[in-house]
Amino acid sequence: MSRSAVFFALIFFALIFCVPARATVLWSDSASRVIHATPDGTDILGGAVKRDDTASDVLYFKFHVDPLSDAADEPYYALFQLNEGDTNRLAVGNAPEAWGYSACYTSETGPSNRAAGEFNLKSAHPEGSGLGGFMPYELPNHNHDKTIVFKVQYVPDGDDLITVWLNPDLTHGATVENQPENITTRFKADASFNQIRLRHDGSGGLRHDGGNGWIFSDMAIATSFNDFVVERFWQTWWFRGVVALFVLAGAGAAVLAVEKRKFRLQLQHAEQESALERERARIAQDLHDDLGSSLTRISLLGSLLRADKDNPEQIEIHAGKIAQSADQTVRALEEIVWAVRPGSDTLQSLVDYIAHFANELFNGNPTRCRLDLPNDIPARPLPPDVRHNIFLIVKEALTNVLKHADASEVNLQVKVAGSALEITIADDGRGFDFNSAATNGERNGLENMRRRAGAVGGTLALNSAPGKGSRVEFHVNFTS
Amino acid sequence: MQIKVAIVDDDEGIRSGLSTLIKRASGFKLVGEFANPETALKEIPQLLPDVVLMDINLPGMKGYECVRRIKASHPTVQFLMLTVYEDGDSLFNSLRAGASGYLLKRTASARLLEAIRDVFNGGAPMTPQLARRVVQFFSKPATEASSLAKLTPAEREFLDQLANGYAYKEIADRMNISIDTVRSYVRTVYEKLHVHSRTEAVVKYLRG
Repeated sequence: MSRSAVFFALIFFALIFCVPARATVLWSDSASRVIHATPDGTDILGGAVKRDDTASDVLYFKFHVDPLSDAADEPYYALFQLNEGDTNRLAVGNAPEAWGYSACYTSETGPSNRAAGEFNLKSAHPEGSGLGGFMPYELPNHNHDKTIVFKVQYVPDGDDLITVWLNPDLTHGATVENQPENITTRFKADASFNQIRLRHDGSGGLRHDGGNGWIFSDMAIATSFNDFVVERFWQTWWFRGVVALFVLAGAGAAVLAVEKRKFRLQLQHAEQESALERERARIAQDLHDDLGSSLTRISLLGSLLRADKDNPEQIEIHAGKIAQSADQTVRALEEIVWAVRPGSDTLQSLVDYIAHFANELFNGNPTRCRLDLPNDIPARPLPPDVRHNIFLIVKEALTNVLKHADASEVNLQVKVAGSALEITIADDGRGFDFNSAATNGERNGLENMRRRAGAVGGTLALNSAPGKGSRVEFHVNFTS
Repeated sequence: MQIKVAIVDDDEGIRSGLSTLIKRASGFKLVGEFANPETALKEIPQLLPDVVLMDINLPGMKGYECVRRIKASHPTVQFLMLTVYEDGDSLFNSLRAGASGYLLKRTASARLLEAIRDVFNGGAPMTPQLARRVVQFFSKPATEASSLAKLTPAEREFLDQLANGYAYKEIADRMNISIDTVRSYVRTVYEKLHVHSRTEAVVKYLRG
């Protein structure tokens, strides 16, 4: 998947996450109003919301009351009422005849109501009846303010389905399904409206004013019960926005990191390939230089043989040289084959070949070659140039011993410990003095060894004194 | 007493060079020369040479495979592998298949004849490289096959010294044994190698 596609998908999801997971509050009014002696009430909705008999959706209504008028002030009514113009529609609060929390202008009468169109609301705190049971309603008491939520399922051309919850649980996490049955009242009523009126008055005798009224507050109309559930801060849009930003920033950083790594791998790959290229170039060069000249020499000696065919002594000499040259050529070729063959780019292969080379070099020579090699060499890949350089260091050191040291014994020791490799070549021969006029070739050889050691990130130590033998120590730590 | 020698090598120049060498040498008799392993497989059992010089790198069947087959039915025939390069792995595989040693093709003629005589007399040449590989082989975690033939401590010691570059004579001195004992160690080590390869072949066969 392309980088930008991932990016846009992330933005999309972040935005979705930002959008609050709630539906809409269509109208709200948090002000507190003391409603007292307002028999008709006045519209507080101002046309914000309306529904008529063709509606088929669902609306939720909420209001909070502190009932100043209570049982002692009965009979009275206090209502949160839906109106269609002047026509009274569903009202919830305290119905005129009923004394407990109730609804009126309902299409069905409550089972415990005497007056038609009134419906007592079930409560979690019903009144005790003198008979040792409970009344099917709760009397309003100004020491206990209540929140009332009711749901209207609009039915076109018919009575709407009403559900009322008396003091529902609106704490975080509450749902409409979780509300207990003992506070849930269901009935039918006509809830078409284009106004909301808050009404209060006495409903009994002439001089009865119905108490001090009710305080209505915190009213709202919404499309979902959840709109009334207390929202924790992590549900607010701004908090989610901040989180979304962090997620995006994190995603951006991750994408960048991946890109960087990809780039680094590509770079590594390219470096490896160029290392192989260099190795191939080196081999091509060696083939051209060394082997070309060896075989040419043999060819020349062949012609000399022919020319001297009547001279047995010369034939002997030429033949000997031919054999020697041919031998050298095969050895050089063997080295190239080892370098090129797949599977030789390992530490194990290097050690094997060094051992083989040492044995071959001192085969039949008065100098005895001793080997001290580890039995268990860990699997470690070596880049071709590193392998080649280390081999050449050893080759140079051993060849020096063969040619100059006049030693009785040469010791080749290889030690592997973790990521460290140590190769020591020690002999008991003539030794040499660095400062004395060693031939240019010898000095170059030593310089080459040091250079190669440095090239692979290792160190070279040379210890020698005239008559005391010499010791070459190569040490390298592989950093991977 | 003439040592009967056969040559198996696909390179015409090498083959003719070696056969001339054998034919000219006293004490040796060339009984056959072959360019491909299939013909060799057919005829060698009938000719029954004492020593076969076998190229390690034949077209078609590998040299050591040929060795394995002939050794299975005619164990008295000895094999010396011929090789251009000292490729430790191939050579070790040949030993395991039943070869008694190897020779570099560029070996000078005198040494060549000496090596053939050595093998004929029951000696078996072993180099430090091969010794190392043998030790490693026997050090591998036990399989059913390897439990059959393990190295004795003396044999192990001998191989270690050999791997360190000591000659037979020096090893004999250091271990305080006779040179004949040293040679016998070589023989038994070879036998154990061959046991392994025979048993492995059987195990493979039984496993199907």
